[in-house]
Amino acid sequence: MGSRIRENVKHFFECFCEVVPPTPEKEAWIIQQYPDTYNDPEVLKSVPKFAYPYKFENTVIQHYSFVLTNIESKWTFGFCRHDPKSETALVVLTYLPWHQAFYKFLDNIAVLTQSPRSEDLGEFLKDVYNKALPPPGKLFEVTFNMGESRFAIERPKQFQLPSIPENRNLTEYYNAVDASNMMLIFASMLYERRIIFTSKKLTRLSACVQSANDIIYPMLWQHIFIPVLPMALIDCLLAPMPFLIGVPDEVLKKVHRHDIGDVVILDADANTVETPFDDLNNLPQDVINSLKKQLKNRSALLGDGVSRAFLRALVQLIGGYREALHFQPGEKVTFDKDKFIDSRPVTSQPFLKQMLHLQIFQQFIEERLEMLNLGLGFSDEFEIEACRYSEKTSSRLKQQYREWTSTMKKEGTAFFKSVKEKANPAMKSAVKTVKDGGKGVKSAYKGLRSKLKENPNSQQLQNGLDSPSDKPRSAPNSPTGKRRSLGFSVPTATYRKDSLNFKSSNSERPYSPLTPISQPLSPDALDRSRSNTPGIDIPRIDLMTEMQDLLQLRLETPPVDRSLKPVRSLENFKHTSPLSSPEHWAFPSRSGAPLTVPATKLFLPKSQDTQNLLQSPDDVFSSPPVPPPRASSTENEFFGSASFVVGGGRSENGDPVFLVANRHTVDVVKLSPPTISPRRKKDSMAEDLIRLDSTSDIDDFDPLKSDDSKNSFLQNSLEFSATDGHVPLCLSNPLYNYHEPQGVQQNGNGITKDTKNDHDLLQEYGLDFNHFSRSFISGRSANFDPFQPTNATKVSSQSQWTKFE
Amino acid sequence: MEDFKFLFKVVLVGNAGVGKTCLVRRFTQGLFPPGQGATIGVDFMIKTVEVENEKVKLQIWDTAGQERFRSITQSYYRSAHALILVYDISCQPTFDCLPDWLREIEEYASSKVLRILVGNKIDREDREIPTVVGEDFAARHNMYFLETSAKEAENVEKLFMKIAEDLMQQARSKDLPRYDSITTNISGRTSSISDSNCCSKLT
Repeated sequence: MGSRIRENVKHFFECFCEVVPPTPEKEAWIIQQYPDTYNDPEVLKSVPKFAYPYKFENTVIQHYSFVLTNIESKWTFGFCRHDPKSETALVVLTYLPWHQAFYKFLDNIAVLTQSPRSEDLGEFLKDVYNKALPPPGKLFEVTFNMGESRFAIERPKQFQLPSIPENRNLTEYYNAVDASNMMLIFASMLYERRIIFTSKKLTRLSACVQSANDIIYPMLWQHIFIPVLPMALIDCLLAPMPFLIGVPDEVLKKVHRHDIGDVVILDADANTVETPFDDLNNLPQDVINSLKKQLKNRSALLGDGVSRAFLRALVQLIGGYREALHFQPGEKVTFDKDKFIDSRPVTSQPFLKQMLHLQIFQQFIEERLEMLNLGLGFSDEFEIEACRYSEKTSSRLKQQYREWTSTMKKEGTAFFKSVKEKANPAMKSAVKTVKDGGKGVKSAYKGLRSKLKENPNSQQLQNGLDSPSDKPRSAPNSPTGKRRSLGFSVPTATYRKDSLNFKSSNSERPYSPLTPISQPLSPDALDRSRSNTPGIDIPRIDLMTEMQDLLQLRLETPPVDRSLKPVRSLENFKHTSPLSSPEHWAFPSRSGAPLTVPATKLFLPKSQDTQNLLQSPDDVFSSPPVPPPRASSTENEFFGSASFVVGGGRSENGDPVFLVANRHTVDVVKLSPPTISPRRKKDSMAEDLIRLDSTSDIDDFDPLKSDDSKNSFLQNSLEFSATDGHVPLCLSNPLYNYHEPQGVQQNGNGITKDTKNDHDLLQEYGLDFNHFSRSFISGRSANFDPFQPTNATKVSSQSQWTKFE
Repeated sequence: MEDFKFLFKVVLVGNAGVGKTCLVRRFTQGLFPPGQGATIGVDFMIKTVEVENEKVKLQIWDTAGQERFRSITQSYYRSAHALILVYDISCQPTFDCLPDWLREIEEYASSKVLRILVGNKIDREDREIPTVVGEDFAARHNMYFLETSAKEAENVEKLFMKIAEDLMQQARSKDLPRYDSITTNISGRTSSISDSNCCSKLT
């Protein structure tokens, strides 16, 4: 019931329309569509209105999305592209909410509309339309231009938190609206208010509305949802029921404010919120305080930091639903409202009582029960956070759920038809490990905490305590964003020129963008196609400036800077800015795993790690980067193109320093203390999340999750030790094929049973140790000093595992 | 938006298939905007009528699929002036659900909201709920009652005109739960009471 996204979608898109703008005499109309068979008169009638929601001047390329809602309350997304050079607007209707993918698709279409061969567009649309959708995380690709070019996107994975800057909507929202206003809107949505967003820019408008909805995940706005409201539907603003409507500034001007009644208005251009309510202050204070705190830490907000901060707030608010679940063998799992309220802190109870009556909460509970009753278990990001938040409950719950599921299985009911296929691999791992092991770690942690307190080296302490929990993914992502901004400042002309260079430079590159076979994965066909189409100008996209602003204004991120500053080759980035390095365009958004050791990250500008930055935001998915397939990166390729560590040592202050070489340069890299995400690691073991301490205080909350950083502290800041910190949990880490973590093996409890799955899971979270291991190995073969300590770390981590027994 | 003296918001609720949409369509036939419900998730009709020489704009909001909710919660009723609860006289289950609907309405809607019970589809031969049963139910719950046929246009005009007149009377006696201009107390438990003039500008 709850979901408004359609399932079992057959086609990438439902219909493509080209829409002619309105004239004083005539309304906007569809001049052509594909396929002709698409015939939903209501929808087709609406498309022109949404494509030209009001009379506007177009000076830059605008991408925006609108949403149509059918009678079953399912959404159809319309993605729209306005090009000042084009007479018409391009619109794609689809059931899939893959924003980045469709903007890219539209760009591709725009290029093809200029194609000298007029059949190109039709053929392309036909091929895309008829191509079956791949499973989540896999590539959807279609060749076109007589097989010369390729359009490829990665199907987003489930349960992915939007991250900055990959997720265009969130990036826009975060850029336009400050944290306190985001919180106001968040609170207003939880109270199901009538909410208006307004902006002069359609791109910003639709992105903010979409993103505001993303941020209340795992809840989903159940009411009227119109990211862009056309002038013709202005009366919708008088609706007495809750709504979230993006109203273009021009349209809002036409409404009498007093007709609308009580409404929350966010002006995304001015960054102001007007509200007659006091919803934010009516949320439980502890939730607000920790949310504020997390959002204040700007450096932690890249990656999925923003999404996660709000997710945590929701965990605090409603994660307790788990304690009110009722498991009765042989029956469906049910939810007990009273138990839910009673189990919550007294301070939260008034709000929660209120919450029970909200549509979004009811939807949430129903969806969770459905997940459980299907045997899917607790597998999404919300549950992972909830586990982290309250470990005790989690393990008890999992035990209960396990018993319940096994009963269900024994009874041979057809209850879970596809449990085995569907269940998150992590589900299969044993609860017992956590329960038994948890205690050991807990005491170990206590000891550690006291040690940390004594530790005068506050710099490191802070790093370990603050960053890992708050911005697990941001640390690795940040440099990405930074560099990306450089890239986008490059004017169009440069782009074009470089695109052409790109072509000519192919021959010398190990992975030529034009020979897709040699490309491991390349969803960037579009870019290739662009470069294949000299003469087609790729104009400046408005968002780029926005992003640049964002990155400049908001990226005072010490951890990032620290890892960047010492890097001489940062200058290389400036010169060979993304757009001028053709290879980058050839690479898909399966960026280097966020866990990448900074050095690797920084010094693989020609490899997978950086392509993220180098693509237009359209190309980047919010999904965690998919590591390159193993087969693709042969040793040759690796040494041929990527950077590798050739030596190492220590700087005068003891920080490890590495020499990293690529084809053209050798750079000295100083590594910052590890800010590696414990979350990542935990995700990889999603089922066995350990919450060692039950306090809800965010201060305590953080370090607890970062046992890997603990390890590294113990190692006294050995950068690569951070990677080691993951050993116990990343069982399939190929890096350790050489010395098997035996403690783990013995301790197995089924965790290692299915290493394939583990590996997949790791990949899902963007961890591919295959890739790392190569760089490690290469480093090692080059007599790489810092590996001594690495080994030491390893020993210690093993010993930690011994404790688990 | 054109001029009008009064603006009243009317919300229709009731099980799926009882003919809510048809009812509204019949009343506003051919008027703006036809059938947006199919595309934006809410169906609303606007009709301006004249009551006692005053222009009254009736906005009739159809749930357009909100029946998917097992129950519609407070936010849905928050700012309606009148609620029309519809059942199908040829379908017992739609009548049996009325107490559930009513419970929600009583819990969430303003106590002053005008409530009308409508038995629709009186053109059908296979009546299951006698008129008197409907009347009785309405009387017990302090609601107006009317039987209609959207198909035959029977009592439809009367229904909405009655609502317009009643609301206007309420408005004149200042007894109307007003959501516009001056926001007064809404019985929702947490609804803040405020005046739109004092919108706090929070930045």
